[in-house]
Amino acid sequence: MSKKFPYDTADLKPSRRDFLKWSGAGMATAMMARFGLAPILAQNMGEIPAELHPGSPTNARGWTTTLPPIPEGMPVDPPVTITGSRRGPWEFADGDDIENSPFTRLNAAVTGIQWKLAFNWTDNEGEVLQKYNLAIASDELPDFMETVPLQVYSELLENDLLEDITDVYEEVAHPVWLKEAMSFSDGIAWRLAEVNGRKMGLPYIEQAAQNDKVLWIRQDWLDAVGMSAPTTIEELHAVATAFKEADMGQGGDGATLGIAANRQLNTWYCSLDPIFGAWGVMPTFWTPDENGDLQYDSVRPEIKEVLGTLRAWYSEGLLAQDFFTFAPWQNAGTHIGGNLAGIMYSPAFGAVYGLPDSVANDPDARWTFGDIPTGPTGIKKKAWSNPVPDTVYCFRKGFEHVDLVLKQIAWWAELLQNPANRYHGFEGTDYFWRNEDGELDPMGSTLDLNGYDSTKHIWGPPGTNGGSRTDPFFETNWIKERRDVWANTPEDERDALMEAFLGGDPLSVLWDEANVFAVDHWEADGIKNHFLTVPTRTMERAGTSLEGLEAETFINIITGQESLDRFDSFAEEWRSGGGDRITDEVNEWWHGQM
Amino acid sequence: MIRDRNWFSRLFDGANYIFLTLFAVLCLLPLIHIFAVSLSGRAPATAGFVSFWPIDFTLENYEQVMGSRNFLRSLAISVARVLTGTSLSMILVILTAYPLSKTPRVFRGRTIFIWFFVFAMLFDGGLIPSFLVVRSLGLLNTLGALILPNAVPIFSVILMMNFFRDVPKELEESALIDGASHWRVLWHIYIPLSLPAIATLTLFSAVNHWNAWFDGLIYMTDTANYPMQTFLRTVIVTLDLTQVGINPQDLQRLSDRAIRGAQIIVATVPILIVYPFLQRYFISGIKLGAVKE
Amino acid sequence: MTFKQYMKRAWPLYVMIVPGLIFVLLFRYYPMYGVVIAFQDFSPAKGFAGSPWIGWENFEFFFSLPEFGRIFSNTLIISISKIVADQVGAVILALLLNEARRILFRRTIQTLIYLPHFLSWIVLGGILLDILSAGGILNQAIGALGIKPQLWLGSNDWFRGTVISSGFWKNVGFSTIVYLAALTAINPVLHEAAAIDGAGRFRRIWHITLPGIRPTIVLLAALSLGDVLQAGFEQILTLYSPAVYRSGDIIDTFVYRVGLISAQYSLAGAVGLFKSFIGFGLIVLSYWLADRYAGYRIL
Repeated sequence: MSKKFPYDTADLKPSRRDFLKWSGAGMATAMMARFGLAPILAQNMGEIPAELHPGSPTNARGWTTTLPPIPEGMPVDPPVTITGSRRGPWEFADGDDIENSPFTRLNAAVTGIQWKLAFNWTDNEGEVLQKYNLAIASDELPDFMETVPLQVYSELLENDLLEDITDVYEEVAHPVWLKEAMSFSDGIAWRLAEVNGRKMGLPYIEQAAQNDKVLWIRQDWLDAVGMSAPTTIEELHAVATAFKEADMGQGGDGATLGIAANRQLNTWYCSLDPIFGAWGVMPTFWTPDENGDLQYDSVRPEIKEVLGTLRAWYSEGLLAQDFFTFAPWQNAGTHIGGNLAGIMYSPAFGAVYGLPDSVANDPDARWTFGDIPTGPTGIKKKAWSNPVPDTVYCFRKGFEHVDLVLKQIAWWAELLQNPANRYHGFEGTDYFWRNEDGELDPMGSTLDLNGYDSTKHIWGPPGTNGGSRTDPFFETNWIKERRDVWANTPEDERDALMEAFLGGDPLSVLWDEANVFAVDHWEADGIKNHFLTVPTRTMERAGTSLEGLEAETFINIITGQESLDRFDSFAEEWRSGGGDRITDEVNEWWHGQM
Repeated sequence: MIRDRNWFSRLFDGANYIFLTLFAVLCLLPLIHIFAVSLSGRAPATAGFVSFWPIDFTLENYEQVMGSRNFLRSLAISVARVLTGTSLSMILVILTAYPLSKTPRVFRGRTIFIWFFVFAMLFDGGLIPSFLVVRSLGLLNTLGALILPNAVPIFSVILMMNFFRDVPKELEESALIDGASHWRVLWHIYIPLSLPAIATLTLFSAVNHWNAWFDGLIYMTDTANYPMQTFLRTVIVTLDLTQVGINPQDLQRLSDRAIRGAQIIVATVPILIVYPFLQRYFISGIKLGAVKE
Repeated sequence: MTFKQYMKRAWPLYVMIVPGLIFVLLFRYYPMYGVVIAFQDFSPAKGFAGSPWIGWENFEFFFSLPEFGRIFSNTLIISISKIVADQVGAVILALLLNEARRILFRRTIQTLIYLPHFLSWIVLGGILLDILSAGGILNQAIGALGIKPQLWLGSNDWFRGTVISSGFWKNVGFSTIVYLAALTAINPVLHEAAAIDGAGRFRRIWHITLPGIRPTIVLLAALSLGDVLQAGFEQILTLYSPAVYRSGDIIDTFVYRVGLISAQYSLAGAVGLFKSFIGFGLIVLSYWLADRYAGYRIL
């Protein structure tokens, strides 16, 4: 991506011409080539009863999902029941539940595995931790444990409650869908799941660059003030000031903000991390110094310069007067949805989070995205979002069917992650046919993809979970498939699914493009947090105090309640209050790694 | 009825009515706000444009909430919980409070019993032992897990005990002299004379059962059995993306204030109905004076 | 009276208390062995029997925190203010409602003022974050009156006040209900007799109504002391931010943040035990004081 700001909602009349144009732009397709796109011939399809088949083969405008060949030795006979824990709850159709759904029925036919629910949890904060700890305390671990949190994982390891799967993995794991797919970024996938060279579980992998920020900006406001998209922090400041002075926003007089921010400076939405990155530092991250030791970025002198900059911006009214009481989700509503701010650093999914409300509330709003501006010395960095969160898939010690689970993973990974197989869920479960009146219609004309998530009813192993794949580039590959293959399909040959996506709203298209863009810049522009293990002893003891001190001090400096020089005494307090000891402990771990 | 006709008293009445009305309005405003939001379109609601009148009026939010099987199921669990749990609690509260309201001479050992309960109100052994008890009784994923562990609300027992102490001793003594048992005294004298207190504590118990969420989270290993407040928390609680597996669609749903508003209204209205129904017992208490003559 | 004679009369009392005793024994006393985690480095996999014992280390850690003074005093200030405001407010509201003669009016007001109690802090927190923000409804309203807008949630001058008054607003209506129930037990004849003797309205409130509900007031005040270290975890968690740690960080929110770094069952257990002891001690003290100086037993 050499050009800045190539996309803009005004341009995005998602016609075939545009898609051809984009696909001709020479986007990298290397990642797709890696897996090969030739549909795999379904020699075993006859064994799967038609009513279990995903897709819509019976619909006039439907499509056919190609099922991968059934793995050797499957379905196992007699069938095997495996207990598992998982995130939920999902809504199911009549009579279906978490143990009996289109997914489990197809899976049982292919593999012979019947999954049984041990326990599940919702997105409630801390709930997953509670449920795992109660299961441990009552000595009832499931055979297969989905997304075990780090704290629980180390507890299980210490007490020797996990199955070492190294040997089975070497023997059974699919060479492409597991071994190769999980080898990205110097093997970071295994940072937790592998302990002393032994595999104690499987990694949980999210989409690459999922939380990497791009600069979202109002093109119509830029046009109104006669400026172009900022490429440096200085220009960003000028544009934000112009927006504020012209009072472009929808609020009352003078309510327009320069840039949307919230109480967390380095966070997942309306973050300020690319501003810190412009000085080459990242608060709360541990990064290597010139000697190869890890240093805590929050106490580096460059932070003071960034705080000074933000302090000036705050006093000029570019940040909301009370930005530091805002939670990220409030930004999405009040500042972005309410059209008070025309600039934010948010991930690609910002296109569909906040922006839809913005456009609905102000039909003239035209959002665009582009690369993050560079700092005074030309540095352009942002927080690298790690696709391997602090969680692992684990197997109970003594569980005998690890091989079956690994085979199931490979089969589903191939079905889901190879776009050419065209797996897009089950009719009536995660998509519906509707007629013009919006009623469900088996031979309907339009496809309802509301809440579309091809994997949310699936459970069990990674690669089949709502948020996880074995390949972090799955989403990007799929976008490219749509852009490069579907868009090149003549209009009269397109099926309903192609049309539903290609006719998608401009913001969804913008999301796709931002996604590809973020992935392209992922490795080059990211500052990585190199401390990737359980908290050290002193972190457990003093970490809360130090975190509080840091958060409080940074906000007070930005809002002018304390002098900028307070930063120096803060850094001193941090070091003497346990920071030095933490640094030693972190480096002990770090050098032990190498 | 006493009539105070002097000007100061009238002035006080006027001020009193105005003050109470203003305070009531202040209490009502947030609910009106939520109601207006729940009837608004997604975008203006989420952007915070709605104050007390809906913008882009729609019933769609209610259709969506009522169309969710998970929500309706959790609602049914909560209703069942309130009905069974409140009945059980009130029986236990009355039975426990009656002996405790006696003097140590009438009920020997009373002092030990009362401190036994007060101590249990303040101290607890924490989450894991309680979970293990409920589990070993086979109560996980049943209604029992929601109503049995807190079947004796000790705070209510103490309040009930104090209200029972207000019952005139003469009535009880004459009944006992006539040969009535404690059962009869409780049933024919204490309960009829304590209806306002019983109504109050019934309300407490019903509201506690309705609002409780943490026990549902712990004792229901399958989220399909969550009572409504536990379920609602999963929808409302503010998330951050440090948690795994949250996708933008989920986020969108979670920050949709219009849907949340509709959920809150649907979740709040049923329990509100309880109070006006119980209120008449407060009035009947006024007749108490006559009985006490 | 022999024991046999006594039991002949009193046996139903013991039968009545048995179900309550069983429930409390089974669900409250039996699990109390769990308090040992306060003296352990607890690990769920090792269990209560297998986790290592570390004596008073968890307590020492808690008391020697650099923030201990701050979070302890914040907790006390917020919680005591809340208790006082809630109790006084509830009594006054109950008296005012009692003086409102129109039944329909009274019932309507009663129903309305207890409404906020039904909104959980999670729900209410989200609304308050909007209403109390710099550009929120409250600041717009007072701005229209010519008053300078304030950062109700972001300033250390205002945060405690915001917490206390929103807590008051949410709970006071519900607290009123107990007093209304207590008021029904006052014999109207007393009022009539006093009126005939020429006692004015306020004299009657002072000499008849208030003494009539005094036992309830003392009891509720004493019981609320048991919660003196509970300043409102959920409320503060939804409303606070690092900028107001100085005035708004309480014991529970701090311990919560410690638990976010690593699961600290034992620390939470130690803090819980500490809070229970303080609460129980205060209840015993108020029981003794009421008995000694007011001459009656609240329990």
